[in-house]
Amino acid sequence: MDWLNLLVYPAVRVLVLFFVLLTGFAYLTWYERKLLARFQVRYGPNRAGRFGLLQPLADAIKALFKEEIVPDHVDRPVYLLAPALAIVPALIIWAVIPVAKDFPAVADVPIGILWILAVAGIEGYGVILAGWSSNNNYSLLGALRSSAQMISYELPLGIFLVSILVLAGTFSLVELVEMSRPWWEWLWLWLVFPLFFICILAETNRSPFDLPETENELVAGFQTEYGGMKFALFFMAEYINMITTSAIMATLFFGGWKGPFADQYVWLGPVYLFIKVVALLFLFIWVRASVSRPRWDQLMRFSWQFLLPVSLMHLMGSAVFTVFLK
Amino acid sequence: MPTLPVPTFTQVVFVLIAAFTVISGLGVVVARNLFHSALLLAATFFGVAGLYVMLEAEFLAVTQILIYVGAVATLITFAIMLTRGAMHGETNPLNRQWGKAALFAFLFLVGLLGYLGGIPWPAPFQAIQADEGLIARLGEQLVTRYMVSLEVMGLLLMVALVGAILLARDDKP
Amino acid sequence: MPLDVSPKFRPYEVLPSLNVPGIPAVAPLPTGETQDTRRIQERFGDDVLAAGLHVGAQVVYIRPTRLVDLARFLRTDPRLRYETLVDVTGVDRLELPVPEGEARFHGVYQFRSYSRRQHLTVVAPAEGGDRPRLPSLTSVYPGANWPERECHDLMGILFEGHPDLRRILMPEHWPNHPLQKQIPRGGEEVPFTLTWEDPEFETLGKQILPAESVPPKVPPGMDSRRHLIINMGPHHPSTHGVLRLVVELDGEDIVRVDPDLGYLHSGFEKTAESVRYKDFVYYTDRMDYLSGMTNNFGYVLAVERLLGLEVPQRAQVIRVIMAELQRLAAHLFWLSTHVLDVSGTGMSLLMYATRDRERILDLFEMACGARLTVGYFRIGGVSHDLPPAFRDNLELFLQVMPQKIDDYERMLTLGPVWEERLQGIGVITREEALDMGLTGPMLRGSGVDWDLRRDMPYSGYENYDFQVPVETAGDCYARYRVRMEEMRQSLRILRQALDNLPDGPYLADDRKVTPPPRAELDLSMEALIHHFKLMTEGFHVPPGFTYQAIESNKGELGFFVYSDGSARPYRLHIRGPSFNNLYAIDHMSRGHMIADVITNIGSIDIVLGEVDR
Repeated sequence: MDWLNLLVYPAVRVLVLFFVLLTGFAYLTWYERKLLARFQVRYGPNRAGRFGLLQPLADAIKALFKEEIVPDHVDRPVYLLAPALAIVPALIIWAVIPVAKDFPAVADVPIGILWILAVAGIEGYGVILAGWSSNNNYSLLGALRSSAQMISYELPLGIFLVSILVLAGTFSLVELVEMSRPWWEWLWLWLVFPLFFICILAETNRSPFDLPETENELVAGFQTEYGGMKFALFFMAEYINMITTSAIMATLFFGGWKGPFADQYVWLGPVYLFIKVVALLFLFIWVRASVSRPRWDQLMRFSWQFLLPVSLMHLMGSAVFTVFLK
Repeated sequence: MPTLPVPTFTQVVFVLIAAFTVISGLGVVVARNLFHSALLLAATFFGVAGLYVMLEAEFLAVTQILIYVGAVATLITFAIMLTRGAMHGETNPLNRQWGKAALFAFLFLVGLLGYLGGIPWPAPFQAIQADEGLIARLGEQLVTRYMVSLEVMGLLLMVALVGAILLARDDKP
Repeated sequence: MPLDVSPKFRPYEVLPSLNVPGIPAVAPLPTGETQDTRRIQERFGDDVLAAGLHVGAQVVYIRPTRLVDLARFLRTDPRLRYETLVDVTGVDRLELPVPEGEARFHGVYQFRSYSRRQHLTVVAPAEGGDRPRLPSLTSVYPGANWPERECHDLMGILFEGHPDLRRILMPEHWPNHPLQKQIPRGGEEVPFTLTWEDPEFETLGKQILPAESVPPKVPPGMDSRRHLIINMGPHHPSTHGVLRLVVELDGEDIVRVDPDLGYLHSGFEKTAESVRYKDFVYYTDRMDYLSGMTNNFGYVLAVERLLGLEVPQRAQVIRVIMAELQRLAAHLFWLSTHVLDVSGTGMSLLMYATRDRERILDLFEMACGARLTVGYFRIGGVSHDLPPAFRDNLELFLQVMPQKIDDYERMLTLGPVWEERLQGIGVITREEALDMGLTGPMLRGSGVDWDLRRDMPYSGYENYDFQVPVETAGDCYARYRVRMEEMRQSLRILRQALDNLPDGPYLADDRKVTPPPRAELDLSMEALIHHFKLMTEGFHVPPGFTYQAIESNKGELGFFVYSDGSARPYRLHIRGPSFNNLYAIDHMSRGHMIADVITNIGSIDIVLGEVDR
């Protein structure tokens, strides 16, 4: 029984989760392209299948059948390792996110929030490795930017998380969702949601903070030398990261799987979570369609001179609230 | 005929993680490329975190990843990327002093082992029950019993921070 | 077998000339005098070989030894104040009946006084016969740098005292200077030609060609050991074509930028020497392919000026309408790509602005059937009259457009990042702008109040009421403001032009230059003869030279035409605004970050087809 409990049962959960996430990734690309097109007076994909719904499939086939090219001048082992390292953290973060009542995706770890922070910390490795091993000046600059950006934005992100943690009084995401909060706590949380969202944008390298891969200065930044399936893996990592971080934000700020009747009917939990995630993804894409990209130093200055002090103040406020009102 | 004991699942995992840690640790020393060394160092940190998990010290494990893998090793790779000369080829060959260095390292190991042997380890450690309680107790201890060390550490980091800012500051007006 | 890259010359057959005796002829010397030429003559005495007016422009012939002195005098003399050197070019007079003992090459300089609204052409015969030498003017006008390099590259004139006399458009190993007259056009085998014997075909189809890794050649003065050198282009997403910038970086800060041009060099100037005047109109479309109408405009004006041809009123107004529409289209495209460069892919403005540009292209299509390479202008007018529906459509456009421009401006300026990215970037002071010979919005963004349409009007621009926007900050944001305002002013001009569009012919009624209408051919023998002559030989242009500049959307687009009396230009030089403005990229980018190079490129607004010509 030892083996069954430890291996088989989680493995099934993990497989289901991966299937859902990878499908989600595929259709997220479709969703983004359609939405962006609508923002930009275009149609978007509309040839493969009805409403272009088969487009992700076609893209996947194309990526799979592309010739695998490894340039001569790269650091081969690291070069091949990088895409894998990019996608792993995006997937394993999901382990602790509750998808329904009393039901985390894989395991209820008592230190769920720390787990998120820790995995977010290693997310940068894929990009750094890719940039380094490509042996290309553009890639190197992309990797440099990426690591600096990750370190800078992890700080306010972590402090916001700690702030939430102080309010909740628990490390576990399962408990966090299930506990009932007073109205002023929600308000206090939503106050910083925009800033938290900005940190998330920077962490996931999404536009307008996609400086490591700015195609108009650094060609494609860290992924300049990648093609075919290896490129697709980076692509996948970015989009799965979007889904993952949306789920985290939904869990932290908007009550995760909670919704009317979700307590009675457990199956409603994932549905609510899905709706919230899709709404947050819309936000990601909306921002991409309308906000222009800052310069690299402006980005850093924003983090250190604005986000960090604000996050510290929020943390102090949370501490005060917790001590006096709870 | 004495049968070999069937290893439990935990033991197998422990051996795997330990091997991973030791091998990547060795790799840090023998890798001929500085960047590879840094990456293997991150891998070693990971292995150590795995060992913490085996000891059911999840908090420690996650903190290990958060700080060592997420921050320290990233900074090291960052620094290596900034040094342009390290970009091409082998930059970390065994140099002329590796023999002496190995000797000192060995002596250090012997001393360390001797010291460790002298410590009375608490043989049957009590399993800590409530995970919640563990973290809370840790926090409590930090601000009561280890208060001075915590503050001194904070001060030290502060000094380092100020120094770093001073070094990195642009002389341009 | 290694690829043989040495040039091979094929015997060049010269067609038996159709020209009448007395052609070719040297351009006549200037006659009369003006205030400026008198002053120059007083000062330089015998060193002025000739001075006066030629085809309505002030021309001074000066001994090459005194050229630098003359330039310094022109610039510093309080009564002359020629602040800027607009253009440098050369003429190879090998095929002209040059009197014995006179120089084969002439250097031709165009000086401009913005404060006095004067233009002066200086011609300096080059010393050294077949290996011509001229003193460099870079010490007086730093902006002479690139024009002189171009002249050296294409014409072979050695500019003494030039700080950086490398080839600029042709490849480094190119065996000759193509604009010299003894170099045939199309006679040489291009070194890049592939033949079936080529070893490269052995690997064709394997996708990855085994290529030797060659350490890149660093431009002189760059330090690849201390700094990071990256190669932007020729295939880079935001260099607007095949521009290559070698960027020397210290971290992300720029130490130096060295542009490498010529990837799109197509030899328009050489080609022009072998086609008839009327046929070159279509070539100009391909230069700055985003403003075909404007290019047409400059060229036909230059030729009309040499011919002394009067263009009917209606044609003049149609030309103004087309030029202003083209300015709008080009500015819209500039705006969308600039925003794209600065801010990233998702920016929807690209699509919005392109949609509006599409309306303009539809209008072009109504008028002439083409959208991009229009070829609408003719020497003496335009090719077709405007169709009846054009007026209504333009009316509609004029109603919609002002709101759109406001919308775009709000989209940008209300956002948090746009001003941050542009303000204080790529600053050019007024003095520097004059030094470097910048024109157009680059000049107006730096506080020089100058617009050729207002200050040296052509095609009836003096009849329109419009303002010339000027900003003093000199940074990318100032230039952005200037261009946005220019779009509004263009709309104003369009409104006035549309309201005052006169009736009448759209093509000059000069049978020696413009073909007769189709209906006339059936009735008149004479018309048939004219038509035949025009379609076979073309029309002859009296000997002489002129420099005609117009205000294109990017700056001053100048055409220097030297006629020897035949039906083909003897020498045609194009002064592209992109080329001269791009010279500023190094100055603008130094000390900024790498992202700002992209901002600067967008702010200069280049089209490589015109830079490389």
